[in-house]
Amino acid sequence: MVDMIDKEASGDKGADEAIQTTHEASGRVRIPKLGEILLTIPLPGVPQLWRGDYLIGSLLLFLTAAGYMMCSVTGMFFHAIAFVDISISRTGRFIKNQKLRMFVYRASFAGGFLAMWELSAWEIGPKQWLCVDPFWFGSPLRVMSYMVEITLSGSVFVDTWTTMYEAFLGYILGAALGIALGFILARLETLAEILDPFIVAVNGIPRVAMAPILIIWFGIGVESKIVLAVSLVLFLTFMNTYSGLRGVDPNLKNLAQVMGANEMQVLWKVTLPAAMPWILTGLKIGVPFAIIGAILGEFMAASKGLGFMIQHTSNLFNIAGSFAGLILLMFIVLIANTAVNWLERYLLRWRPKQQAAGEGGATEVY
Amino acid sequence: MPPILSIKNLHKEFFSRGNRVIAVDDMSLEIEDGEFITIVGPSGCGKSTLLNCIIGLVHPTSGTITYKDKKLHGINTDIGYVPQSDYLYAWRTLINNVAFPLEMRGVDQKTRHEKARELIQRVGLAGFEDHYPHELSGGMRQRANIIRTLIYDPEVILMDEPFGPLDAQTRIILQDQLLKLWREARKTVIFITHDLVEAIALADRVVVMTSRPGKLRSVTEVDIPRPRDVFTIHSKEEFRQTYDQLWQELREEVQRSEDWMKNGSAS
Repeated sequence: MVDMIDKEASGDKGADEAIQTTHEASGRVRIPKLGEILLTIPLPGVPQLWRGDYLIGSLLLFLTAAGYMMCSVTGMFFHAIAFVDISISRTGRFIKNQKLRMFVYRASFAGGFLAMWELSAWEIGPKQWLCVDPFWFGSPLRVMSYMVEITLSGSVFVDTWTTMYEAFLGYILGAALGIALGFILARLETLAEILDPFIVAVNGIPRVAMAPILIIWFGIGVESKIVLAVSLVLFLTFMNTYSGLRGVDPNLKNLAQVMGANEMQVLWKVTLPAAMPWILTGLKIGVPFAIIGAILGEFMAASKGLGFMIQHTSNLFNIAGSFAGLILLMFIVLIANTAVNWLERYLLRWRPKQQAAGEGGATEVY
Repeated sequence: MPPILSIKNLHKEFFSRGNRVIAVDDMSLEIEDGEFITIVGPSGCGKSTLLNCIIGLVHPTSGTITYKDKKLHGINTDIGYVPQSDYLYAWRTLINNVAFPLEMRGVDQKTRHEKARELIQRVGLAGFEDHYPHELSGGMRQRANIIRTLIYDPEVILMDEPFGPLDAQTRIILQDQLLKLWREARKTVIFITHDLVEAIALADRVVVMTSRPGKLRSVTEVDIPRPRDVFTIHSKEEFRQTYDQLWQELREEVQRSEDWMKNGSAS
């Protein structure tokens, strides 16, 4: 605390300057106090963010984040923290409905996080020594006020709609083409074998590298973004459909024929449903990639869309604006995932519960 | 009466890692209409290949199979096939699995469900119509596997060790049910098994195949009057005699198969 007040007295300059000033004024060498030395240590990463002024605020934010992570992630492994976990679960006991209780837990987790973020951005005290600079990190209220601003101006609707439109169309087209291609190549074995290395090679091209050419070919409108999304979704659904169809147990198909099915019936009644889990995995993985494609295109060249909005705001150092864009994207992905999960739950209702849940968890990593 | 199915000089070989493997060699057999035939033999003697040739999933290298005086070409849908493990369709409920062959034949849903429900009831699966296969026990699935073949009334039914993976109690109960179903429907059944007791209890004639290459070793009539009681048949004198005789033959073949495998792995 003493260091801080010392530093306050030396005016509006940074900590290292403060030490030098002391030297010059007194004309003799003074051993700097421990706090002063600590403040001069450049921390790795982005030094400006963590420098003296905001040290305590940053520390608070860091500790909160670390604390949250310890509780939620490592809670399972460490006995002491397991105790915290049990305490948490006991605190909520008065809520009888299990789903409601989980909702309350999650809401308080989110609320607590947002509150810490907001508080650490507040300028408490004589100077900002208890805060992280909202210039770099924004704050929930700033994000909200920017949201209100763009809602009132109407630009949020244009941007969100544009990105959703590009991603959705790209997804539908890519998935349809991918599944169709999967079906065709699963049938034409020789062609599939000829094309195999080319498909792998083309899929290996990073889409960021393709984006400039696509912009030249398809312009800066929605088309180039749709094509980018298609190029990502197509391969994912194709690969999954193809290997799913090829992996169907031939005995299942043979038996259907013995029981009187013709070739079309075998395809529709046996092969397709048997490959459905793979096809759906492809469709699920494809969702975030469709949005990645759209955003990538918008980063390259665009005049509207959330990707454009994020880039535009960050160019203006409007961090709150960028966060607003990220949050909107998050919601789009959440909604799209929910839709695909519903589709999966309906189409794969015949699967054992545990198996379905396991697969869902694996794809959510993407 | 002419045989419903006659196999003449059937020969099937295939290549595996550059080696010529003879699965079935010079096999001839005539099967009468309504007969229950069981085939026993050491493992790997080509029993399954023989069945696959009869349904038409595998083309014989030489020799002919005649069904009702017609030479077989491709898959014969008059012949039903009950595979070793139940290949029930995991995405179909029990009733839709059982009704599958009728659905393929364009029978409308009401009729095919009625028929399926009747069969499901007969094997004691009533109440499980809307369950998916993973919700059924092994024995239940195997029952469904069998009635799925019975529902479309094929003239001949081939069964490839249908009770192999089941526990002993379930096996006997299912053998009993199978005999009842067979008595009512009077189908021709060709039944592959490892279990000599099962082979004798069920069959009119027991076919013993030799170890590799699979040839016909002997055909034995089982003189035990029907209807048989599979639960007590072991104590009958005729059963014991047939069992001893067949076991003698089978043991030689199993021994030969063992030696062959030892030599095979040594060379």
